[in-house]
Amino acid sequence: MLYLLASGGLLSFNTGFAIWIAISLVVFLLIMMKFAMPPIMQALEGRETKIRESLEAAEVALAKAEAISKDNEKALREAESKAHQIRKEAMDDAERIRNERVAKAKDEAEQIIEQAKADIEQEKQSALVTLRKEVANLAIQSATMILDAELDVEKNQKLVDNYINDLTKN
Amino acid sequence: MIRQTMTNYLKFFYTLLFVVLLGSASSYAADAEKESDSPIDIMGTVADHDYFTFFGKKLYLPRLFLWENDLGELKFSTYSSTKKAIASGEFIDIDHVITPVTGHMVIDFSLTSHLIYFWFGLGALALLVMFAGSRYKKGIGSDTAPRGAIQNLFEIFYEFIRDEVAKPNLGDKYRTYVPYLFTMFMSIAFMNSFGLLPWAATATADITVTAVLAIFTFLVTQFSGTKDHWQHIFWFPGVPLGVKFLMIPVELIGLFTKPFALAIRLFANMMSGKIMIIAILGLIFIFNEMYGNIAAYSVSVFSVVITSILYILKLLVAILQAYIFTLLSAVFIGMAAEEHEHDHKHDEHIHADLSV
Amino acid sequence: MGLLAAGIGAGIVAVGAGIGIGLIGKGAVESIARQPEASADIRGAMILTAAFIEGVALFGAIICIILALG
Repeated sequence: MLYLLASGGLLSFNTGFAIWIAISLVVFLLIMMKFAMPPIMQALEGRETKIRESLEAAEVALAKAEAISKDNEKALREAESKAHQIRKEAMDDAERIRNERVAKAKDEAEQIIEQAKADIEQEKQSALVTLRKEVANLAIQSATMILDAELDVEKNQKLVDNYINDLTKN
Repeated sequence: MIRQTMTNYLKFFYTLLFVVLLGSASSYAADAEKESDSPIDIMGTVADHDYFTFFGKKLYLPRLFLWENDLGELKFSTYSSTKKAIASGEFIDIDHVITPVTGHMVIDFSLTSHLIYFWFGLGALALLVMFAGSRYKKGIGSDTAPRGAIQNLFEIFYEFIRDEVAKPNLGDKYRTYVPYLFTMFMSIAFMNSFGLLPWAATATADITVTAVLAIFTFLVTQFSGTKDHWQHIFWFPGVPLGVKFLMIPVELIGLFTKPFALAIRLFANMMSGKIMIIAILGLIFIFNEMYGNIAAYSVSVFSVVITSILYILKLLVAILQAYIFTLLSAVFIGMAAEEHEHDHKHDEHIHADLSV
Repeated sequence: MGLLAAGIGAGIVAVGAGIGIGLIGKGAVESIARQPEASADIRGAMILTAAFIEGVALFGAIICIILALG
């Protein structure tokens, strides 16, 4: 069994060995720092920036989409309220028109009824007049027949008229 | 279904662990029997060797010596193994230390098992990085999601170092230090994990290796130190003149304790784990020698169970210590590279940033 | 004598580290009980701090090894 470091046991510092290690470590570190690591670091950082950028872009797009959908919703609500208003207006109009029509029709009807009443009254009056005349005539004729020229026509006429007037008064 | 396969895997893993541990214990014992009177060789398992075990065979490593002979001439000799060196007649083995027959050793440049495992650690990291790099070059992972276990694992560790270690401690300048921190973390983690293999050596259980690693962190810290960092060491701001002089030695000592603690922490953790396992497995052979076969068999049940638990703990510690080494490196570098608030340049910097 | 010192030292180191890690565990468990949603962060901090204490304990252990071997 051969310890290289037997003089100091486990805790001795071996210069030759240390030089070997220092040289290999320097060479290795230089290779790692100059050639091996930078491309890997760049690749990983590139990937990370790409991921971060795409995440940010996605967030922006999401915000945009949200804004758009909010706008759409707003427009929809506006349209709805407009439609509601229009419908209400239309209903009001219809109501108004209907009321007007109804009122007009009522008026017309009343007018017609009044006209009819007036006509009826007139007819009645004229009928009454005619009837009166007829009655008078009949009375005169019958009286003439009865009296047979005892009286002149004029005096009889006057008599009958008075009588009829009395009749109507009573 | 998944749970079923998981438990199956776990069972398989535990069985494997038991077999491996029993095998390794017997190989340690066999080693020890030949070479010393003690039934088990604890120090031999953590010490550096001139050979490297490969599928149960010892491959002897070349020895390189820079030495000075009697005449004061510097000589550089290379031998394919220790035996050859001794056979050449120029070197002898005094208490397991190779010394020249005449003159003295200047620097022993011999390749050792720990150096080989250090290279294995770096090599494993190099393979991983090359694999990941080729994937990213092809566009897998850079344009699309990463694919496969290895690339995902690579990304987990890389992003862990970048986001959890470098970013919080180093601020805006973290990009420069990520390769250094990642290399340190991964190579230490690989070296620690190689140490879990029963036949392998743990390179980080060697004070020389951890010291060199800590020295690197120390150098990086000092080279990235701002004016402010040096001012804090040699002319502490905001205290009376006498205290300023008092603070110089305190700060200077603090400067060197940090890497020292870094080196000792990693070394002691890795070595103690290894020693603990050898000691517990060694109980089997100690009992065998002292009380006979039956005692050894009964102890082995206890020993192997404890060792399997320790192995899981060691796996955790292997990653954790690499993380702590890297985290503390980042903290020290961050402290040195930080520009303090009372610094006017810093304020201007902020204003400049805001104006842009 | 060196072995004796090493043994006593290692024992004291273990006591200190045990108290330290026990306090960390106590604090962590109490914090997790108070804030179960932060348990992942607390566990990470706990492991890290425990590792620091372990490092200090191992400094002591190293000194003991030096004493035992020297």
